Amino acid sequence: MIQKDETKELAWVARIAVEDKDIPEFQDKINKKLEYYTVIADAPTDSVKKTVNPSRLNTVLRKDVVVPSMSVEDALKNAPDVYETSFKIPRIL
Amino acid sequence: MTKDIAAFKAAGSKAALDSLDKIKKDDLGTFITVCSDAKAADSAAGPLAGVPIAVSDNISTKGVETTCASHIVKGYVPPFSGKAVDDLEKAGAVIIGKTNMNEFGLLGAASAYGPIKNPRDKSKKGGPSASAAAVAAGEVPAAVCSDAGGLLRVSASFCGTAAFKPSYGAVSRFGLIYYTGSLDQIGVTATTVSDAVTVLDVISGNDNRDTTSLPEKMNYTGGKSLDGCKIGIPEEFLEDVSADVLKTFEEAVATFEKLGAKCMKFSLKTAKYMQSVHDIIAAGESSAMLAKFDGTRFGPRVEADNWHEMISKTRGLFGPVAQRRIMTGIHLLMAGQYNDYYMKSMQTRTLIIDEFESVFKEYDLLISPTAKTVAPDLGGACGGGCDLELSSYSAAIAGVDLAGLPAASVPCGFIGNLPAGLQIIGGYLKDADVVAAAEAFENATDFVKFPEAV
Repeated sequence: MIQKDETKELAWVARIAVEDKDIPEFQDKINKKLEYYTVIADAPTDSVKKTVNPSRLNTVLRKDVVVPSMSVEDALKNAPDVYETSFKIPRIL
Repeated sequence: MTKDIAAFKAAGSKAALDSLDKIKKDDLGTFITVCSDAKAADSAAGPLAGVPIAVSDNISTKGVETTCASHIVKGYVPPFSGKAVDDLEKAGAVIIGKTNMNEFGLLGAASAYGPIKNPRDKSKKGGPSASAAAVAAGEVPAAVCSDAGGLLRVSASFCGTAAFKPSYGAVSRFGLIYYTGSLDQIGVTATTVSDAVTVLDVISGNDNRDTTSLPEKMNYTGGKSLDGCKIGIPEEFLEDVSADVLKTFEEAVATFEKLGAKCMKFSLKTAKYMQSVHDIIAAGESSAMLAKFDGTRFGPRVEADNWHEMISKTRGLFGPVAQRRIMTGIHLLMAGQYNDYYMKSMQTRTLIIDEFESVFKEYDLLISPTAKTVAPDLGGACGGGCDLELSSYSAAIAGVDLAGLPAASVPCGFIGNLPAGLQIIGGYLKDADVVAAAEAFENATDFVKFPEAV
Protein backbone atom coordinates (compact mmCIF):
# COMPACT_ATOMS: atom_id res chain seq x y z
CA MET A 1 0.00 0.00 0.00
CA ILE A 2 1.27 3.49 -0.74
CA GLN A 3 1.36 6.33 1.77
CA LYS A 4 0.46 9.99 1.27
CA ASP A 5 4.05 11.10 0.69
CA GLU A 6 4.58 8.27 -1.83
CA THR A 7 1.46 9.39 -3.69
CA LYS A 8 2.89 12.91 -3.92
CA GLU A 9 6.17 11.44 -5.11
CA LEU A 10 4.37 9.45 -7.82
CA ALA A 11 2.64 12.60 -9.03
CA TRP A 12 6.03 14.32 -9.21
CA VAL A 13 7.63 11.41 -11.12
CA ALA A 14 4.65 11.37 -13.49
CA ARG A 15 5.05 15.15 -13.91
CA ILE A 16 1.39 15.70 -13.09
CA ALA A 17 0.38 18.68 -10.98
CA VAL A 18 -1.98 17.21 -8.38
CA GLU A 19 -3.31 19.55 -5.73
CA ASP A 20 -2.66 18.58 -2.11
CA LYS A 21 -6.38 18.33 -1.41
CA ASP A 22 -6.70 15.61 -4.09
CA ILE A 23 -3.81 13.47 -2.83
CA PRO A 24 -5.91 11.40 -0.31
CA GLU A 25 -8.40 10.43 -3.06
CA PHE A 26 -5.55 9.45 -5.40
CA GLN A 27 -3.90 7.45 -2.62
CA ASP A 28 -7.15 5.67 -1.75
CA LYS A 29 -8.02 4.76 -5.35
CA ILE A 30 -4.52 3.55 -6.21
CA ASN A 31 -4.43 1.46 -3.01
CA LYS A 32 -7.80 -0.15 -3.83
CA LYS A 33 -6.30 -1.27 -7.13
CA LEU A 34 -3.14 -2.61 -5.52
CA GLU A 35 -5.34 -4.63 -3.19
CA TYR A 36 -7.36 -5.93 -6.15
CA TYR A 37 -4.14 -7.02 -7.89
CA THR A 38 -3.21 -9.42 -5.08
CA VAL A 39 -5.30 -12.10 -6.84
CA ILE A 40 -2.42 -12.74 -9.27
CA ALA A 41 -0.04 -13.72 -6.46
CA ASP A 42 -1.06 -17.39 -6.66
CA ALA A 43 -0.66 -17.68 -10.46
CA PRO A 44 1.80 -20.56 -11.07
CA THR A 45 4.38 -18.57 -13.02
CA ASP A 46 7.65 -20.24 -11.97
CA SER A 47 9.84 -20.63 -15.08
CA VAL A 48 7.03 -19.23 -17.29
CA LYS A 49 8.22 -16.91 -20.07
CA LYS A 50 6.75 -13.42 -20.25
CA THR A 51 4.43 -12.25 -23.03
CA VAL A 52 4.95 -8.62 -24.06
CA ASN A 53 2.26 -8.62 -26.71
CA PRO A 54 -0.10 -11.22 -28.18
CA SER A 55 1.47 -11.12 -31.64
CA ARG A 56 2.96 -14.48 -32.53
CA LEU A 57 5.39 -12.77 -34.93
CA ASN A 58 9.11 -12.80 -34.38
CA THR A 59 11.02 -9.53 -34.38
CA VAL A 60 9.94 -7.64 -37.47
CA LEU A 61 12.54 -5.52 -39.21
CA ARG A 62 11.95 -3.27 -42.19
CA LYS A 63 14.42 -3.01 -45.04
CA ASP A 64 17.31 -0.71 -44.19
CA VAL A 65 16.49 1.87 -46.82
CA VAL A 66 15.65 5.54 -46.57
CA VAL A 67 11.95 6.26 -47.07
CA PRO A 68 10.16 9.63 -47.08
CA SER A 69 9.43 10.95 -43.59
CA MET A 70 7.51 13.84 -42.09
CA SER A 71 8.71 17.30 -43.12
CA VAL A 72 10.10 19.62 -40.45
CA GLU A 73 7.27 22.04 -41.22
CA ASP A 74 4.63 19.38 -40.56
CA ALA A 75 6.42 18.19 -37.41
CA LEU A 76 6.39 21.72 -35.98
CA LYS A 77 2.85 22.61 -37.06
CA ASN A 78 1.20 21.52 -33.81
CA ALA A 79 3.88 22.71 -31.41
CA PRO A 80 2.87 25.34 -28.83
CA ASP A 81 6.14 27.23 -29.44
CA VAL A 82 8.95 26.89 -31.98
CA TYR A 83 12.31 28.48 -32.70
CA GLU A 84 13.43 28.18 -36.31
CA THR A 85 13.42 24.40 -36.89
CA SER A 86 13.17 23.35 -33.24
CA PHE A 87 10.56 22.94 -30.51
CA LYS A 88 10.95 25.73 -27.99
CA ILE A 89 10.50 25.08 -24.25
CA PRO A 90 10.88 27.24 -21.15
CA ARG A 91 14.26 27.27 -19.40
CA ILE A 92 15.08 24.02 -17.60
CA LEU A 93 16.90 25.48 -14.57
CA MET B 1 -33.57 4.29 -37.45
CA THR B 2 -30.45 2.38 -38.43
CA LYS B 3 -29.41 2.31 -42.09
CA ASP B 4 -27.01 -0.18 -43.56
CA ILE B 5 -24.30 0.38 -46.17
CA ALA B 6 -26.67 -0.56 -49.02
CA ALA B 7 -29.21 2.04 -47.88
CA PHE B 8 -26.57 4.78 -47.80
CA LYS B 9 -25.20 3.65 -51.18
CA ALA B 10 -28.69 3.83 -52.65
CA ALA B 11 -28.76 7.53 -51.73
CA GLY B 12 -25.83 8.03 -54.13
CA SER B 13 -24.22 11.46 -53.92
CA LYS B 14 -26.77 12.50 -51.26
CA ALA B 15 -25.51 9.89 -48.77
CA ALA B 16 -22.98 12.17 -47.09
CA LEU B 17 -25.47 15.05 -46.93
CA ASP B 18 -28.09 12.77 -45.38
CA SER B 19 -25.54 11.70 -42.80
CA LEU B 20 -24.52 15.30 -42.01
CA ASP B 21 -28.16 16.32 -41.73
CA LYS B 22 -28.85 13.53 -39.25
CA ILE B 23 -25.74 14.40 -37.21
CA LYS B 24 -26.75 18.09 -37.12
CA LYS B 25 -30.03 17.13 -35.42
CA ASP B 26 -28.23 14.82 -33.00
CA ASP B 27 -28.34 15.64 -29.29
CA LEU B 28 -26.67 12.39 -28.29
CA GLY B 29 -23.10 13.70 -28.07
CA THR B 30 -21.93 11.24 -30.71
CA PHE B 31 -19.45 13.46 -32.56
CA ILE B 32 -16.59 15.67 -31.37
CA THR B 33 -15.77 16.96 -34.85
CA VAL B 34 -18.05 16.86 -37.88
CA CYS B 35 -16.48 17.21 -41.34
CA SER B 36 -19.25 19.52 -42.52
CA ASP B 37 -17.83 19.90 -46.03
CA ALA B 38 -17.40 16.14 -46.44
CA LYS B 39 -18.59 14.78 -49.75
CA ALA B 40 -17.76 11.92 -52.04
CA ALA B 41 -15.02 12.53 -54.56
CA ASP B 42 -16.40 12.82 -58.10
CA SER B 43 -14.27 9.87 -59.06
CA ALA B 44 -15.20 7.83 -55.98
CA ALA B 45 -15.08 4.15 -56.71
CA GLY B 46 -14.57 1.07 -54.60
CA PRO B 47 -16.56 -0.99 -52.15
CA LEU B 48 -17.45 2.04 -50.00
CA ALA B 49 -17.90 4.62 -52.77
CA GLY B 50 -19.77 7.61 -51.34
CA VAL B 51 -20.55 5.86 -48.03
CA PRO B 52 -20.19 8.04 -44.91
CA ILE B 53 -18.08 6.38 -42.22
CA ALA B 54 -17.30 7.67 -38.72
CA VAL B 55 -13.88 7.33 -37.12
CA SER B 56 -13.21 7.46 -33.38
CA ASP B 57 -11.37 10.54 -32.20
CA ASN B 58 -8.20 8.66 -31.27
CA ILE B 59 -7.48 7.72 -34.91
CA SER B 60 -5.45 10.34 -36.77
CA THR B 61 -7.14 12.14 -39.66
CA LYS B 62 -4.97 14.45 -41.76
CA GLY B 63 -6.15 18.04 -41.44
CA VAL B 64 -9.00 17.16 -39.05
CA GLU B 65 -8.64 17.83 -35.32
CA THR B 66 -8.02 14.64 -33.32
CA THR B 67 -8.45 15.03 -29.57
CA CYS B 68 -8.80 11.55 -27.98
CA ALA B 69 -11.62 13.31 -26.09
CA SER B 70 -8.97 14.82 -23.83
CA HIS B 71 -8.19 18.43 -22.96
CA ILE B 72 -4.49 17.58 -23.32
CA VAL B 73 -4.79 16.84 -27.06
CA LYS B 74 -7.22 19.67 -27.87
CA GLY B 75 -6.28 21.53 -31.02
CA TYR B 76 -4.06 18.77 -32.42
CA VAL B 77 -4.47 18.54 -36.20
CA PRO B 78 -2.53 15.51 -37.47
CA PRO B 79 -0.26 16.05 -40.48
CA PHE B 80 -1.01 12.47 -41.58
CA SER B 81 -3.86 9.97 -41.49
CA GLY B 82 -3.92 6.56 -39.86
CA LYS B 83 -3.60 3.59 -42.20
CA ALA B 84 -7.27 2.67 -41.58
CA VAL B 85 -8.38 6.17 -42.63
CA ASP B 86 -6.23 6.11 -45.77
CA ASP B 87 -7.67 2.70 -46.67
CA LEU B 88 -11.24 3.90 -46.14
CA GLU B 89 -10.68 6.90 -48.40
CA LYS B 90 -9.06 4.74 -51.08
CA ALA B 91 -12.18 2.55 -50.96
CA GLY B 92 -14.30 5.64 -51.71
CA ALA B 93 -15.63 6.20 -48.18
CA VAL B 94 -16.41 9.70 -46.93
CA ILE B 95 -14.97 10.36 -43.47
CA ILE B 96 -17.91 12.17 -41.95
CA GLY B 97 -16.50 12.99 -38.53
CA LYS B 98 -14.77 11.96 -35.34
CA THR B 99 -16.80 10.16 -32.71
CA ASN B 100 -16.84 10.94 -29.02
CA MET B 101 -15.26 8.52 -26.56
CA ASN B 102 -14.05 8.22 -22.99
CA GLU B 103 -10.78 10.13 -22.61
CA PHE B 104 -8.15 8.07 -24.51
CA GLY B 105 -10.64 5.18 -24.40
CA LEU B 106 -10.07 4.65 -20.68
CA LEU B 107 -13.07 2.94 -19.11
CA GLY B 108 -14.53 5.00 -16.30
CA ALA B 109 -12.94 8.22 -17.62
CA ALA B 110 -15.17 11.05 -18.78
CA SER B 111 -14.93 12.57 -22.23
CA ALA B 112 -13.83 16.21 -22.22
CA TYR B 113 -16.68 16.74 -24.68
CA GLY B 114 -19.61 15.57 -22.60
CA PRO B 115 -21.53 12.33 -22.14
CA ILE B 116 -22.50 9.85 -24.84
CA LYS B 117 -26.23 9.17 -24.76
CA ASN B 118 -27.84 5.96 -25.91
CA PRO B 119 -30.05 6.43 -29.00
CA ARG B 120 -32.46 3.79 -27.71
CA ASP B 121 -32.96 5.60 -24.41
CA LYS B 122 -31.34 8.99 -23.92
CA SER B 123 -31.30 8.59 -20.14
CA LYS B 124 -28.80 5.70 -20.56
CA LYS B 125 -25.14 5.57 -21.53
CA GLY B 126 -24.29 4.93 -25.17
CA GLY B 127 -21.06 3.22 -24.13
CA PRO B 128 -17.44 4.21 -23.65
CA SER B 129 -17.29 5.01 -27.39
CA ALA B 130 -19.97 6.81 -29.41
CA SER B 131 -19.21 4.75 -32.52
CA ALA B 132 -22.06 2.31 -31.87
CA ALA B 133 -24.44 5.14 -30.87
CA ALA B 134 -23.73 6.89 -34.21
CA VAL B 135 -24.60 3.66 -36.06
CA ALA B 136 -27.68 2.90 -33.93
CA ALA B 137 -28.94 6.45 -34.50
CA GLY B 138 -28.70 5.96 -38.27
CA GLU B 139 -26.10 8.69 -38.67
CA VAL B 140 -23.62 6.36 -40.37
CA PRO B 141 -23.83 2.73 -41.48
CA ALA B 142 -20.50 1.85 -39.89
CA ALA B 143 -17.84 3.29 -37.61
CA VAL B 144 -14.20 2.47 -37.09
CA CYS B 145 -13.10 2.44 -33.47
CA SER B 146 -10.30 1.12 -31.31
CA ASP B 147 -10.97 -1.57 -28.73
CA ALA B 148 -9.10 -2.10 -25.50
CA GLY B 149 -11.10 -3.37 -22.58
CA GLY B 150 -14.38 -3.33 -24.51
CA LEU B 151 -14.47 0.18 -25.95
CA LEU B 152 -15.92 -1.12 -29.22
CA ARG B 153 -17.68 -4.33 -28.13
CA VAL B 154 -19.37 -3.04 -24.97
CA SER B 155 -20.59 0.09 -26.78
CA ALA B 156 -22.09 -2.18 -29.48
CA SER B 157 -23.75 -4.28 -26.78
CA PHE B 158 -25.30 -1.19 -25.14
CA CYS B 159 -26.60 0.19 -28.47
CA GLY B 160 -27.61 -3.03 -30.28
CA THR B 161 -25.13 -2.93 -33.17
CA ALA B 162 -22.79 -5.59 -34.51
CA ALA B 163 -19.07 -5.22 -33.82
CA PHE B 164 -15.96 -7.10 -34.81
CA LYS B 165 -12.50 -6.93 -33.30
CA PRO B 166 -10.10 -8.99 -35.42
CA SER B 167 -7.06 -11.00 -34.36
CA TYR B 168 -4.20 -8.86 -33.08
CA GLY B 169 -2.25 -7.53 -36.07
CA ALA B 170 -4.99 -7.85 -38.71
CA VAL B 171 -5.53 -4.08 -38.86
CA SER B 172 -2.57 -1.71 -38.68
CA ARG B 173 -2.60 0.69 -35.70
CA PHE B 174 -0.47 3.24 -37.55
CA GLY B 175 -2.05 6.59 -36.66
CA LEU B 176 -4.03 5.22 -33.71
CA ILE B 177 -3.22 7.17 -30.55
CA TYR B 178 -3.43 4.22 -28.20
CA TYR B 179 -2.77 4.17 -24.49
CA THR B 180 -1.97 0.47 -24.23
CA GLY B 181 -0.15 -0.85 -27.26
CA SER B 182 -0.23 -4.54 -26.50
CA LEU B 183 -4.00 -4.52 -25.89
CA ASP B 184 -5.44 -1.87 -28.20
CA GLN B 185 -6.68 -2.80 -31.65
CA ILE B 186 -8.87 -1.31 -34.36
CA GLY B 187 -12.27 -2.83 -35.13
CA VAL B 188 -15.57 -1.91 -36.74
CA THR B 189 -19.16 -1.54 -35.61
CA ALA B 190 -22.07 -1.56 -38.07
CA THR B 191 -25.74 -2.42 -38.32
CA THR B 192 -24.94 -5.98 -39.41
CA VAL B 193 -21.99 -8.36 -39.16
CA SER B 194 -21.76 -8.41 -42.94
CA ASP B 195 -21.39 -4.60 -43.10
CA ALA B 196 -18.78 -4.64 -40.33
CA VAL B 197 -16.78 -7.20 -42.29
CA THR B 198 -17.11 -5.17 -45.53
CA VAL B 199 -15.40 -2.26 -43.76
CA LEU B 200 -12.95 -4.48 -41.91
CA ASP B 201 -11.84 -6.07 -45.16
CA VAL B 202 -11.04 -2.61 -46.52
CA ILE B 203 -8.83 -1.65 -43.55
CA SER B 204 -7.07 -4.99 -43.07
CA GLY B 205 -3.66 -5.79 -44.48
CA ASN B 206 0.05 -5.59 -43.80
CA ASP B 207 1.66 -2.27 -42.93
CA ASN B 208 5.37 -1.97 -42.19
CA ARG B 209 4.70 1.10 -40.02
CA ASP B 210 3.13 -1.19 -37.39
CA THR B 211 5.55 -3.94 -36.40
CA THR B 212 2.70 -6.08 -35.04
CA SER B 213 0.97 -6.07 -38.43
CA LEU B 214 0.33 -9.58 -39.79
CA PRO B 215 2.30 -10.38 -42.95
CA GLU B 216 -0.78 -11.59 -44.85
CA LYS B 217 -4.16 -9.89 -45.20
CA MET B 218 -6.81 -11.55 -43.03
CA ASN B 219 -9.45 -13.52 -44.91
CA TYR B 220 -12.84 -13.13 -43.22
CA THR B 221 -14.73 -15.52 -45.53
CA GLY B 222 -15.12 -19.30 -45.65
CA GLY B 223 -15.56 -19.88 -41.92
CA LYS B 224 -16.87 -23.13 -40.44
CA SER B 225 -20.57 -23.87 -40.45
CA LEU B 226 -22.32 -24.04 -37.09
CA ASP B 227 -23.58 -27.52 -37.93
CA GLY B 228 -21.52 -29.83 -35.72
CA CYS B 229 -19.58 -26.90 -34.27
CA LYS B 230 -18.42 -27.28 -30.65
CA ILE B 231 -19.00 -24.12 -28.63
CA GLY B 232 -17.52 -23.67 -25.18
CA ILE B 233 -19.02 -21.46 -22.48
CA PRO B 234 -16.49 -20.51 -19.77
CA GLU B 235 -18.48 -20.57 -16.52
CA GLU B 236 -16.36 -17.75 -15.12
CA PHE B 237 -17.55 -15.46 -17.97
CA LEU B 238 -21.10 -15.77 -16.60
CA GLU B 239 -20.26 -14.63 -13.06
CA ASP B 240 -21.99 -11.42 -11.91
CA VAL B 241 -24.00 -11.21 -15.14
CA SER B 242 -27.43 -9.70 -14.44
CA ALA B 243 -30.36 -12.13 -14.48
CA ASP B 244 -32.05 -10.49 -17.47
CA VAL B 245 -28.88 -10.47 -19.59
CA LEU B 246 -28.23 -14.08 -18.58
CA LYS B 247 -31.72 -14.99 -19.84
CA THR B 248 -30.97 -13.51 -23.28
CA PHE B 249 -27.67 -15.42 -23.27
CA GLU B 250 -29.42 -18.71 -22.49
CA GLU B 251 -31.82 -18.05 -25.38
CA ALA B 252 -28.80 -17.42 -27.62
CA VAL B 253 -27.36 -20.78 -26.55
CA ALA B 254 -30.65 -22.43 -27.55
CA THR B 255 -30.43 -20.71 -30.96
CA PHE B 256 -26.92 -22.06 -31.51
CA GLU B 257 -28.14 -25.55 -30.58
CA LYS B 258 -31.00 -25.23 -33.10
CA LEU B 259 -28.42 -24.30 -35.74
CA GLY B 260 -26.60 -27.56 -35.10
CA ALA B 261 -23.91 -26.49 -32.64
CA LYS B 262 -23.12 -28.29 -29.40
CA CYS B 263 -22.71 -25.87 -26.48
CA MET B 264 -20.91 -26.97 -23.31
CA LYS B 265 -19.96 -25.16 -20.12
CA PHE B 266 -16.44 -25.58 -18.76
CA SER B 267 -14.13 -23.90 -16.27
CA LEU B 268 -11.42 -21.53 -17.56
CA LYS B 269 -8.87 -21.61 -14.75
CA THR B 270 -6.96 -18.43 -15.65
CA ALA B 271 -10.15 -16.33 -15.90
CA LYS B 272 -9.73 -15.10 -12.31
CA TYR B 273 -6.47 -13.37 -13.25
CA MET B 274 -7.63 -11.71 -16.46
CA GLN B 275 -8.91 -8.35 -15.26
CA SER B 276 -6.01 -7.76 -12.89
CA VAL B 277 -3.43 -8.70 -15.53
CA HIS B 278 -5.18 -6.50 -18.11
CA ASP B 279 -5.21 -3.59 -15.69
CA ILE B 280 -1.58 -3.91 -14.59
CA ILE B 281 -0.35 -4.14 -18.19
CA ALA B 282 -2.62 -1.29 -19.33
CA ALA B 283 -1.43 0.91 -16.45
CA GLY B 284 2.24 0.19 -17.10
CA GLU B 285 1.89 0.82 -20.82
CA SER B 286 -0.17 4.00 -20.35
CA SER B 287 2.48 5.51 -18.11
CA ALA B 288 4.88 5.21 -21.05
CA MET B 289 2.54 5.83 -23.96
CA LEU B 290 0.92 8.94 -22.52
CA ALA B 291 4.33 10.41 -21.61
CA LYS B 292 4.50 12.20 -24.97
CA PHE B 293 1.78 14.63 -23.92
CA ASP B 294 3.97 17.22 -22.26
CA GLY B 295 3.17 20.55 -23.94
CA THR B 296 6.23 20.38 -26.17
CA ARG B 297 5.35 18.95 -29.58
CA PHE B 298 1.55 19.06 -29.79
CA GLY B 299 -1.55 19.94 -27.84
CA PRO B 300 -1.95 22.88 -25.51
CA ARG B 301 0.70 24.16 -23.10
CA VAL B 302 0.11 25.65 -19.68
CA GLU B 303 2.78 28.34 -19.45
CA ALA B 304 5.18 28.33 -16.50
CA ASP B 305 8.59 29.76 -15.58
CA ASN B 306 10.51 26.56 -16.08
CA TRP B 307 10.30 23.32 -18.04
CA HIS B 308 9.40 20.96 -15.15
CA GLU B 309 6.58 23.21 -13.96
CA MET B 310 5.31 23.67 -17.52
CA ILE B 311 5.12 19.90 -18.06
CA SER B 312 3.45 19.23 -14.69
CA LYS B 313 0.83 21.92 -15.17
CA THR B 314 0.19 20.89 -18.76
CA ARG B 315 -0.22 17.24 -17.74
CA GLY B 316 -2.72 18.45 -15.16
CA LEU B 317 -4.99 18.69 -18.23
CA PHE B 318 -5.37 14.89 -18.20
CA GLY B 319 -8.62 13.89 -16.52
CA PRO B 320 -8.33 12.34 -13.04
CA VAL B 321 -8.76 8.74 -14.24
CA ALA B 322 -5.94 9.14 -16.77
CA GLN B 323 -3.77 10.77 -14.10
CA ARG B 324 -4.32 7.90 -11.69
CA ARG B 325 -3.71 5.34 -14.45
CA ILE B 326 -0.35 6.92 -15.27
CA MET B 327 0.67 7.19 -11.61
CA THR B 328 -0.38 3.59 -10.92
CA GLY B 329 1.63 2.45 -13.94
CA ILE B 330 4.72 4.25 -12.74
CA HIS B 331 4.35 2.67 -9.29
CA LEU B 332 4.00 -0.83 -10.82
CA LEU B 333 7.09 -0.36 -12.97
CA MET B 334 9.32 0.79 -10.09
CA ALA B 335 12.09 -1.60 -9.06
CA GLY B 336 10.44 -2.54 -5.74
CA GLN B 337 7.18 -3.62 -7.35
CA TYR B 338 8.17 -4.67 -10.87
CA ASN B 339 8.60 -8.40 -10.29
CA ASP B 340 5.49 -8.84 -8.16
CA TYR B 341 3.17 -6.96 -10.49
CA TYR B 342 4.35 -6.18 -14.02
CA MET B 343 6.64 -9.18 -14.64
CA LYS B 344 4.15 -11.45 -12.89
CA SER B 345 1.39 -10.12 -15.18
CA MET B 346 3.42 -10.71 -18.33
CA GLN B 347 4.07 -14.28 -17.19
CA THR B 348 0.42 -14.81 -16.23
CA ARG B 349 -0.50 -13.50 -19.68
CA THR B 350 1.46 -16.43 -21.11
CA LEU B 351 -0.57 -18.83 -18.94
CA ILE B 352 -3.78 -17.20 -20.19
CA ILE B 353 -2.74 -17.52 -23.86
CA ASP B 354 -1.64 -21.13 -23.30
CA GLU B 355 -4.97 -22.01 -21.72
CA PHE B 356 -6.92 -20.42 -24.58
CA GLU B 357 -4.81 -22.38 -27.09
CA SER B 358 -5.52 -25.58 -25.23
CA VAL B 359 -9.25 -24.76 -25.02
CA PHE B 360 -9.44 -24.12 -28.77
CA LYS B 361 -8.16 -27.64 -29.39
CA GLU B 362 -11.39 -28.80 -27.74
CA TYR B 363 -13.83 -26.12 -28.94
CA ASP B 364 -14.28 -24.26 -32.25
CA LEU B 365 -15.66 -21.14 -30.59
CA LEU B 366 -16.38 -19.66 -27.16
CA ILE B 367 -19.36 -17.49 -26.27
CA SER B 368 -20.21 -15.14 -23.41
CA PRO B 369 -22.40 -12.13 -22.72
CA THR B 370 -20.56 -9.07 -24.13
CA ALA B 371 -21.48 -6.90 -21.13
CA LYS B 372 -22.81 -7.96 -17.75
CA THR B 373 -25.73 -5.54 -17.90
CA VAL B 374 -27.67 -3.48 -20.40
CA ALA B 375 -26.70 0.19 -20.77
CA PRO B 376 -26.52 1.83 -17.32
CA ASP B 377 -27.91 5.24 -16.40
CA LEU B 378 -26.13 8.38 -17.56
CA GLY B 379 -24.10 9.92 -14.79
CA GLY B 380 -24.30 6.82 -12.63
CA ALA B 381 -22.03 3.81 -12.31
CA CYS B 382 -20.50 2.91 -15.64
CA GLY B 383 -20.80 -0.85 -15.38
CA GLY B 384 -18.28 -3.59 -14.67
CA GLY B 385 -15.06 -2.47 -13.07
CA CYS B 386 -16.08 1.17 -12.94
CA ASP B 387 -15.64 1.70 -9.22
CA LEU B 388 -12.11 0.42 -9.45
CA GLU B 389 -11.46 2.28 -12.73
CA LEU B 390 -10.37 -1.02 -14.28
CA SER B 391 -9.15 -1.12 -17.88
CA SER B 392 -11.61 -3.85 -18.92
CA TYR B 393 -15.31 -4.40 -18.41
CA SER B 394 -15.05 -8.09 -17.54
CA ALA B 395 -12.83 -11.15 -17.66
CA ALA B 396 -14.57 -12.12 -20.91
CA ILE B 397 -13.43 -8.86 -22.51
CA ALA B 398 -10.00 -8.78 -20.85
CA GLY B 399 -9.09 -12.35 -21.81
CA VAL B 400 -9.81 -11.72 -25.50
CA ASP B 401 -7.55 -8.64 -25.45
CA LEU B 402 -4.73 -10.36 -23.59
CA ALA B 403 -4.63 -13.25 -26.06
CA GLY B 404 -5.25 -11.08 -29.15
CA LEU B 405 -8.23 -13.21 -30.18
CA PRO B 406 -10.89 -12.30 -32.74
CA ALA B 407 -14.31 -11.54 -31.25
CA ALA B 408 -17.66 -10.33 -32.47
CA SER B 409 -20.53 -8.82 -30.53
CA VAL B 410 -24.05 -9.23 -31.88
CA PRO B 411 -27.38 -8.26 -30.30
CA CYS B 412 -29.00 -11.30 -28.66
CA GLY B 413 -32.12 -9.87 -27.10
CA PHE B 414 -33.80 -6.86 -25.57
CA ILE B 415 -34.68 -6.00 -22.01
CA GLY B 416 -37.37 -3.43 -22.53
CA ASN B 417 -35.94 -1.06 -25.10
CA LEU B 418 -32.33 -1.87 -24.31
CA PRO B 419 -30.28 -4.48 -26.15
CA ALA B 420 -28.00 -7.16 -24.72
CA GLY B 421 -24.97 -8.37 -26.62
CA LEU B 422 -23.48 -11.79 -27.26
CA GLN B 423 -19.71 -12.14 -27.61
CA ILE B 424 -18.45 -14.83 -30.00
CA ILE B 425 -14.74 -15.59 -29.59
CA GLY B 426 -12.51 -17.51 -31.96
CA GLY B 427 -9.02 -18.93 -31.81
CA TYR B 428 -6.11 -16.72 -32.90
CA LEU B 429 -6.38 -16.08 -36.68
CA LYS B 430 -9.70 -17.95 -36.82
CA ASP B 431 -11.53 -14.72 -37.64
CA ALA B 432 -13.52 -16.32 -40.48
CA ASP B 433 -15.08 -18.85 -38.07
CA VAL B 434 -16.25 -16.01 -35.81
CA VAL B 435 -17.72 -14.13 -38.78
CA ALA B 436 -19.55 -17.24 -40.03
CA ALA B 437 -21.04 -17.95 -36.59
CA ALA B 438 -22.02 -14.31 -35.99
CA GLU B 439 -23.70 -14.07 -39.40
CA ALA B 440 -25.54 -17.38 -38.89
CA PHE B 441 -26.76 -16.21 -35.47
CA GLU B 442 -27.81 -12.83 -36.87
CA ASN B 443 -29.71 -14.48 -39.73
CA ALA B 444 -31.48 -16.84 -37.34
CA THR B 445 -32.66 -14.01 -35.11
CA ASP B 446 -34.29 -10.65 -35.67
CA PHE B 447 -32.53 -8.46 -33.13
CA VAL B 448 -30.84 -6.12 -35.62
CA LYS B 449 -34.27 -4.84 -36.64
CA PHE B 450 -35.90 -4.39 -33.25
CA PRO B 451 -36.65 -2.00 -31.76
CA GLU B 452 -35.91 1.12 -33.75
CA ALA B 453 -33.53 3.64 -32.30
CA VAL B 454 -34.46 7.32 -32.47
